[in-house]
Amino acid sequence: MQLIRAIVRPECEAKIVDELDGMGLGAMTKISGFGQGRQKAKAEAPVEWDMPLTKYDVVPKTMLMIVADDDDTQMIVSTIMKAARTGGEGDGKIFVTSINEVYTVRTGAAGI
Amino acid sequence: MKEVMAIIRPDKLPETKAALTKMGVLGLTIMSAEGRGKQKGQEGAHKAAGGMRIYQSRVFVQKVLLTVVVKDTEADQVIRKIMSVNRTGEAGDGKIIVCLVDECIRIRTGETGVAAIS
Repeated sequence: MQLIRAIVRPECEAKIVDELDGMGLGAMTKISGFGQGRQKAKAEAPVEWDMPLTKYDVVPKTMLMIVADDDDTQMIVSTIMKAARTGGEGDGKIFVTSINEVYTVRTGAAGI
Repeated sequence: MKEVMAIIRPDKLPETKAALTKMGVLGLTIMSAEGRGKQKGQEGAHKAAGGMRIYQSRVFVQKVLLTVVVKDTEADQVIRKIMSVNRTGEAGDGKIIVCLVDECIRIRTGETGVAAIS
């Protein structure tokens, strides 16, 4: 099993949830956070606004945690990637970790 | 070392914390989180009559993500304890995720490995 942690734009979350729901893989945990990447959290305003480049310390992000079977992992990662991609800097990162055990508290059963 | 991540109901947190303290697990991290499972955030949706399900898109339920890093030998005991304290029998009791931790460092002293968590 794999733990997928996707750090995405908060405004992309709804689209990701809908896409994963459509695949029947709608179970996830969501955590709000802040982050910066290599570009040090700069924000480019649309050209027509004629604004100077704004820099922030950190930008708000949403982390989605999903546990998936090895077979589903690639599919989920590519779905998130497609839904979260705007093409601009700050689209986020996806981390995938192997996990050994998962338990459901209600039943005590191991596995997803 | 193993990292035990438990996604639990917020109202069970004090009880869980007390139980872990009693076991000697004193270091833990608590994060506020939101979650949804097979029921898509509709607690009790599985009980809806006649298989009818009120479907509402993108509902998240308030949860707490409790993280503890423990020795391999303690992990099983900690998992059982969290499960027994948090079990209500209703959907939404949560999940426990366990993964291996390669390295752990105590910032204050620079100790590494098991010494950093005991």
